[in-house]
Amino acid sequence: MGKMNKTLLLFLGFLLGAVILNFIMGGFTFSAALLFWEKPGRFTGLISPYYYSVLILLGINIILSVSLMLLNGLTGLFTMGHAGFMAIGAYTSASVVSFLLPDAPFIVQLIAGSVSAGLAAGLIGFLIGTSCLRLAGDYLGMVTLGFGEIIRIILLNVDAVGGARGMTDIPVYMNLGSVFFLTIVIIIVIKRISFGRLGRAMLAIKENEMAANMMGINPLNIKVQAFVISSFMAGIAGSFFAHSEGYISTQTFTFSKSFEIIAMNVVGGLGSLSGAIMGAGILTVLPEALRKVQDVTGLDIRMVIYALTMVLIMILRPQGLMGNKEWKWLSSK
Amino acid sequence: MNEFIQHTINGLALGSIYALIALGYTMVFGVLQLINFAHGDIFMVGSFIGLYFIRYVIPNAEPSIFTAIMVIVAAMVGSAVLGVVIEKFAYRPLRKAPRINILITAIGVSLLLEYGGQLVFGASPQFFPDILPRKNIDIGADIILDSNQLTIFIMSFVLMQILSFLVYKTQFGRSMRAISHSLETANLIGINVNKVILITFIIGSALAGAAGVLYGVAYPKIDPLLGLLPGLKAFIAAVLGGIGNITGAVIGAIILGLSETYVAGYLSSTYRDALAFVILIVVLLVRPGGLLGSKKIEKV
Repeated sequence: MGKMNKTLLLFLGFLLGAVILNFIMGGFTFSAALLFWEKPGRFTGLISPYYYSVLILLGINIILSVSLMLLNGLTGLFTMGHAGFMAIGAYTSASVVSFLLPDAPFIVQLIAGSVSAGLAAGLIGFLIGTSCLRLAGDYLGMVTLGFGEIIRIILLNVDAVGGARGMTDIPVYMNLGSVFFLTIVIIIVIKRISFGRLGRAMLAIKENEMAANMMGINPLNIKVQAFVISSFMAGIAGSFFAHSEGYISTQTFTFSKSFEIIAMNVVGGLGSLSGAIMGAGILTVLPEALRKVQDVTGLDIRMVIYALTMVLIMILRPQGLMGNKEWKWLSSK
Repeated sequence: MNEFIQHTINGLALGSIYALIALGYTMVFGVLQLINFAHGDIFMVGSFIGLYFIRYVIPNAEPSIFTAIMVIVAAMVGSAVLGVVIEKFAYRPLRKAPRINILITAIGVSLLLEYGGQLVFGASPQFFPDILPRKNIDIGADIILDSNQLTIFIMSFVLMQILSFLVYKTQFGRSMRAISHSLETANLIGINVNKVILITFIIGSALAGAAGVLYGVAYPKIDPLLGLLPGLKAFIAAVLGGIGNITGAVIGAIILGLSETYVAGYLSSTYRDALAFVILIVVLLVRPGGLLGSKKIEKV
């Protein structure tokens, strides 16, 4: 069986998985066959709305984490402004859908929202990428941190998208099945990129830029591509976020969010796709799982434990949980 | 014109608080090449130590210059201890790890202090009591100099003089400057690197603690997330002046404090926070070494 066929099979498998998952967890209102054609209605699923929203958040965080992996882990460009791209995606998609296409069919909204979000974030990513590629190391991190915050403060001052009040009444069309399916799609796309020609070029630049240059790779070109792809994906994650929550405010997209995404990468293992997914899983589920602890002790110690876990993983296992390894279904062979 | 002078006075007061925090950032960056994100939170803890010191240790003290000095010293000692603990338990085990790991650890410690602070101090803002007799000095032509602002200038100035003495006139300062040139070489010529790094953390954290109390004096409402923004801005000030450069940090902080006050006064206060980041980006794109830094650009 050819490689393409295997990927296709994997794809179909996950689509089926998404349908089943949606069916089990969302119940009949998320009619299984109509996965992408029906908006989620009244919640009648087998799991509580709380778990449902945590799972959606998990999918979005995985997209953010793997998209940052492409920049931080693979290309070795340390950026701290990923939340800014997510914000652009969220606001673009929310504006396009609620101002231009409020009554369009669900599938049109989904495509228009995601694509516009990705393009807008990708465009800004292109501009930022081309303007700061002279910088390396921590300096690049600081500049992207600055850009992320500026994007947020500008959005905070645009009254048309709600300003400080945030944007409300955004059409909610993402459900667990579609988030799950599209997350898998994005993981597979990133896997294909990172084990393909482009990904190897990125890795070569990370290891030794000069040697990569000697081998005929144009570092600037590849770096800009990494920036654009990564911000495109982050924009899509923002769009999913906006259309699953129905409400966005600039408070979500502070630099703390960027740090959180970096932490997901580093906890999982910088440069490992599996690690990025695992890190997103741990850092999303851990604070929620620790709510139980809060019920017992009566004190809000879960964020303290969360922070402590982050520090301990860094000290005890500096290469991250996965190191450079990949899970079998994500490895190159 | 009067308005301009008034803004300048306010900006200088804000700038000198930023300067005290920026000095800690720049010193730690000098010796470890580490952006110590937890520094802003040490500043916050310093502020709270000051608050609890007044509340529980000297509850009946009258506001006076003596009380102020006691509170500041208490905050400095407490923050220095915290700095030592962080250095020993979080940063030292990672001395040989990749830089991004140390950075993530710093972010983790920062989160730990913020959420730990919410647990210990409570999440709601608390009122910082007057530790100084408050007087408005009218220096003519409608310009009012708050006596607290004057204290902040003087205190910052004194602390910076002490620091510059330590760094440029003592054996410790010589070792510290040697380490910031090259940690390995400094180690080879017999400098006890760990000890110097520890003292650097002590000094930096103590300055942050003092800044915390002065911040409480100037803006008497403090909460556990207080360190986030001033910390980041002080860091930007350090970058603006040339990170690793002590004079640069002070100049950068004063410029930042002034420009923020002018923007808030003449343009719009909502864009005040964006200004610092714009300055950061412009400086790094045009002159990555900062105003006083060397022109050496980091090569890949």
